[in-house]
Amino acid sequence: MKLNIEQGPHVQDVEITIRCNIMDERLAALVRQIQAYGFSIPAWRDGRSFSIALEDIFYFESIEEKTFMYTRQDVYDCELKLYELEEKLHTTGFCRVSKSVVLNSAKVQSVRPLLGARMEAWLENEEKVLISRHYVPAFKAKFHTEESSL
Amino acid sequence: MKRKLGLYIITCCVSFTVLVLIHSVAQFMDWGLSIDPASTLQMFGVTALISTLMWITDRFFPPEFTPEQMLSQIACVLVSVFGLGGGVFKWFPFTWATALGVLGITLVIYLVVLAVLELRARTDAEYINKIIKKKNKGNKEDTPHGRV
Repeated sequence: MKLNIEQGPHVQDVEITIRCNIMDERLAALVRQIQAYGFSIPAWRDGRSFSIALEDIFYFESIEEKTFMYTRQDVYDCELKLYELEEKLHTTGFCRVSKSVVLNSAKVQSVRPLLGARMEAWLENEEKVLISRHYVPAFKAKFHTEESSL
Repeated sequence: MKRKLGLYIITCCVSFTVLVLIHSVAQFMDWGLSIDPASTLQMFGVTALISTLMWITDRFFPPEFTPEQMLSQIACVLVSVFGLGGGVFKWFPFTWATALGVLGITLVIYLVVLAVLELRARTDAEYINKIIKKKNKGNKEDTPHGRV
């Protein structure tokens, strides 16, 4: 594979072109990662609006019909519902891990099994998120996709 | 919905397998039990009822696996075994001795199924940790000058 990077003051926008003969699974996974890179989610905090890059988001949580977005240190309000986020982000590393949480699998440092066929995920910011047993197969599948792209 | 149902189908299949194995051992040891096509289907009916009852009752519990949920699951197993197995299919007479024996076997099967699911979760966790470790190792090898 050849990698060409053109860097200079004349370049206005970042542009990525992939030239390939066949789109295999590894390449498709790379395309999904690139798509996620350019994606951001609108959020609010203290009456101000923000656009949070997908790679900065750790997880989304729904509490009493409200959706909250968690980054390394901050919490934002998010207008989108969990099922909308799940639909929108299904090609990225995000996946539903319980009734109330959509987690970014890229932010998981390690997991440990818990009683009742559940898991606990340790995130990069040292937070812990519970993975309900019903969602373990989908969560595992995200890592299976990552493994095929490594 | 589909993925949740999948877990209960696995539970049903594992418990059916364990039940058939115990039944086979009992027949081998000549404990007065026999396996014929009708009883095999009846056993599947009971394990399917257990999974269905668990599927319904588990909705009322939080994602944390509480002792109350465990008791509810054991109750689902006992209702199915004594109600459908003992009551409808007449697998055993309702005496104290047989009731205690069935209770013991039922609890053993429940714990075996629980152990199989725990083992699966442990294997899944190891698999995920392995991939994360591999990914982190790959990231460390990336330098500002490219991958070394």
